[in-house]
Amino acid sequence: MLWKLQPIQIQPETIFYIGPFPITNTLIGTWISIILLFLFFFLGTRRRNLIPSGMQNAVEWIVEYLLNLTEGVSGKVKAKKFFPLVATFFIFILFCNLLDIFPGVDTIGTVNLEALKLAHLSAPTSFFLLGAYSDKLTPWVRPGTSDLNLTLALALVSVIVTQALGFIALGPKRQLSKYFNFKAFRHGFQGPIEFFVGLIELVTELSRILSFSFRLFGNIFAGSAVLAVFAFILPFIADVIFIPLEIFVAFVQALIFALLTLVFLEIGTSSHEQDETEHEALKSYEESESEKEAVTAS
Amino acid sequence: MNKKPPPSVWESLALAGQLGFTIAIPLALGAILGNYLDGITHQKTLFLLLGLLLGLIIGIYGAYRLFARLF
Repeated sequence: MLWKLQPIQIQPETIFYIGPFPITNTLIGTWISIILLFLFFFLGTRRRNLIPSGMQNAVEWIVEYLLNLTEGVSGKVKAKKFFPLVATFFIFILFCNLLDIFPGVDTIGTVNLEALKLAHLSAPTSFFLLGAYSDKLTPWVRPGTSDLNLTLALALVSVIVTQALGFIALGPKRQLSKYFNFKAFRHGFQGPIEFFVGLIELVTELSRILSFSFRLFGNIFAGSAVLAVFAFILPFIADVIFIPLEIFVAFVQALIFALLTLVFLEIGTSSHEQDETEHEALKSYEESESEKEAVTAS
Repeated sequence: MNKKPPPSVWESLALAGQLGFTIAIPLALGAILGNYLDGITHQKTLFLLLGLLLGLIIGIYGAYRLFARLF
């Protein structure tokens, strides 16, 4: 047999240790994405012209597009507050995801000596791992978002920031009364139901940590697994179809993560009461406008 | 009266992607919690069914809340 399917495992492999800390291949992947991100924006904004060209054009287009998207969801005032977080999420996740399709990621590494010992094989002599050796590889680099730890950290940041900005925008009393609605008991027989709805709200809020982290991790991990499997089944040909698909998935997942964070930030920092006061203000404004029109008409 | 413009394609897509998780995750958590309580109290399936029911209620309410801002 010329080659074997690489073992597909969820947990990242430890490459080396710095003191007591294990450095895994997904961590190296994350560092590489950070360096690429830094280089991209450093080169793009190094020589700034009033009329942008080349790299500066690309960077400006990305930032402007994201700013427009943020303003479209949350309005001009709040967009200024949300934009840094949402745009950072998008760009960082996009770079981490796109690392998946680079040649060498998942395929360059060291020989896994333990697996060799289990299979009773001697050390390989050639540079390329072929035949029985082809599934005894520990890759040096794996995309950062194919590790559940990174996506969980991103999801925790997203949910905690939503709560913190809610506390700042609404004040601790109104923010807590969203979840522990003791005031509802004054409404008589509906009270317990309203209190229960508040608790449900708390559960949905917390389950968002799971949904954010699992969606991103699942999509990117499955993407790299698909690439590995099809490189095994139909080498050189099948990946012509699947690599563009992975680019699309990388883009969509980054955008979905950023947009959902934005939508929940928007929901979390606005309350029902605020909506009502806005509604009333709009109504009184319209009434005064129609009065003015009536005056000018007469 | 709708104050906001309709959400963009990407925003709708993101919300639709969140819908499945909003329904499924409380259901799974309810089932796990119910199964755990069944083990403690030596019941057959009482708490499992109650947990599933609770998860379903939470899921449906969550889905309603998610899409309430669209319509």
